[in-house]
Amino acid sequence: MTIPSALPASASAPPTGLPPGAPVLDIQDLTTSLLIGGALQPIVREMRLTIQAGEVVGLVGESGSGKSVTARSIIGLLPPGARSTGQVHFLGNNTLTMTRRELRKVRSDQIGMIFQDPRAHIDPLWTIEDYIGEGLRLHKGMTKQQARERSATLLHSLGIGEADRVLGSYPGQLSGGMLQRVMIAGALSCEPKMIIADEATTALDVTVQSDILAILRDLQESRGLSLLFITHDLALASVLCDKVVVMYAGRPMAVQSAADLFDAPAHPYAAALVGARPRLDRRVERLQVVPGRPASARETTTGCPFRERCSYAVADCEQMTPALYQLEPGTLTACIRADQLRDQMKQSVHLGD
Amino acid sequence: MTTLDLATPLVIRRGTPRLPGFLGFAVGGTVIGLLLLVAAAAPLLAPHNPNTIQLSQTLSGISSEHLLGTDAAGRDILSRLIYGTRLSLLGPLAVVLMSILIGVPAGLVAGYRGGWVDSVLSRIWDMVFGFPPLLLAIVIVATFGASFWTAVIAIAITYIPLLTRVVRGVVLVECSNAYVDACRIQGFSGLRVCLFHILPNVAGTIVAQSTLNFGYALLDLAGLAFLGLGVQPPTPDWGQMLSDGRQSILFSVTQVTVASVAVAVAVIAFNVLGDAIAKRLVRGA
Repeated sequence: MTIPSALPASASAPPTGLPPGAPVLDIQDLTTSLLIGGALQPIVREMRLTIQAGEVVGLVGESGSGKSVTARSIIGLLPPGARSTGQVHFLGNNTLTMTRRELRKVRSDQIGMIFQDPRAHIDPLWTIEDYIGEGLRLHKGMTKQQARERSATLLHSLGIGEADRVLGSYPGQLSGGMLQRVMIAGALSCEPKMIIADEATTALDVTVQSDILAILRDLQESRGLSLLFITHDLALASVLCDKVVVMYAGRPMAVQSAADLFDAPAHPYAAALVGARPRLDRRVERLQVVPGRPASARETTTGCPFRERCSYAVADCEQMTPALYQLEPGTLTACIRADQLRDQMKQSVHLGD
Repeated sequence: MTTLDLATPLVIRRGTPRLPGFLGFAVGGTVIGLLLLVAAAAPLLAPHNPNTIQLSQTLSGISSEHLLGTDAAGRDILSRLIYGTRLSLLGPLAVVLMSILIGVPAGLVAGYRGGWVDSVLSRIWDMVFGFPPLLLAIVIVATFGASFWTAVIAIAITYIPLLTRVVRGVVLVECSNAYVDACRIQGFSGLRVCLFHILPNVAGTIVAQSTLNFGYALLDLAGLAFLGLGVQPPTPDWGQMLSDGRQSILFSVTQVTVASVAVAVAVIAFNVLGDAIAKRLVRGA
């Protein structure tokens, strides 16, 4: 699907005031703990992630691996009692040390967010016009009329033909796919530098999913938007993302390009995930599984959190707490044996090809 | 395993179902509408001046001149009943408005902010809740002197925690909805989220609860007036009429009866309407 590129924003990358080449988002050693049962429990540990201007980065991992908590740490929207340490530099400023007011500014027009379930994330009592227009009127000082026109243009650019009808509708009157576009329009309305898509296509059926992916890709290309795409679907991530960060038990396990991830995974966990995905191109007796159950960040102490499920684990894996290091240019891994295992991991994902 | 009973024919309901609580709206609304009409048109409806004392006609029975007879001071009971509608409705209205004015913001803040703010506010309400409501009201009136407005403020104080708790509860539930987070992610201030998003979504509950409270407040105010702690004679008021009629109850039960019936009808009407609103909220939304 092609999107009419009459996008109302400036087509080039928005000026960020950053030196060229500096990342839009730079997360270093982020550790976020949530208050669970009266005690602070780390959910994300020593997270590292960078996003360049115009880059699409996928954050993948099983449920409970800390993907959403990472995203929420970026914009400081955590449940009461939560604590984040480390640095989250967005456009050069550390959002973890920002005042409430500064944080609100970042949320209002520098980062947009799209969620899994648009129906739950849009106030049911207001029309779509109110929903998209509220930010425009509040943050951009537009009149109601201006906001309406801009909302209509946005909806048009997202492939909604009957923008007027949609603007006058209430969320309950629209389909899920339509609402997801509305939510994207809302996230884009104030021209953010970065969009965080938290399982943005998970709840949609496949055809709508591919439309939404096309929209996101197009936006990223035409506007130079940076995109953090959170998903548990490796295939989706590989279609859309330049770079994929694989998380396990709250830690980054591997960072590599989407193509590399499928061809030569840099971490046994990444290899296991890739190997476990269902394939359309061949029949199998049984799908491969990753043995064991996912560990959560709070139960791991020292050593590699994946070692108990890892078929390549050795004694050293119990001693060394993994930190990302560069395996080769553009590929980071947290596996201490990654170099030795290169061929084995490559073979495991190409099994039966 | 459950088995399907094929013998029982499938029941399909036909026709448009009535809106839930329709009967409640109709009955409660009509009675309350009539009461408001009577209060507004009291001077036109009342056959006599409610305060005119005719000592020659005390405790007269039902007659064409005095449809409901007269009281111990020879005042026309029907006229006093009609005029009494005004304060009997104004009192609860003031109570409800005061409790909304303080209870809704307090409940919003407590529910939205949570944490220590919620703890502090909740302890304050616990203190007020510690007293039986009517007893607390009596203490307040006894301290500041009996008058209509002291009684209204005293009853309002006992109703504020009640409404605050209800509002806090529904705000807590509302805050767990994803759209509240989504609003904050768009950089809206807490005040904006509360006023423009949470409040409209919980408004129905506030209206339903306040309608119920209206009925209860009417009863409480009548109780205070009966004890001589509310509306002072000779101003006509249903509770005050009860108190007045009690003294001559051995000679005539008319005054006590009609005043009681008036209070009961009004309270039931507000209850029925409040229930109907609540029912609508549960079904619809």
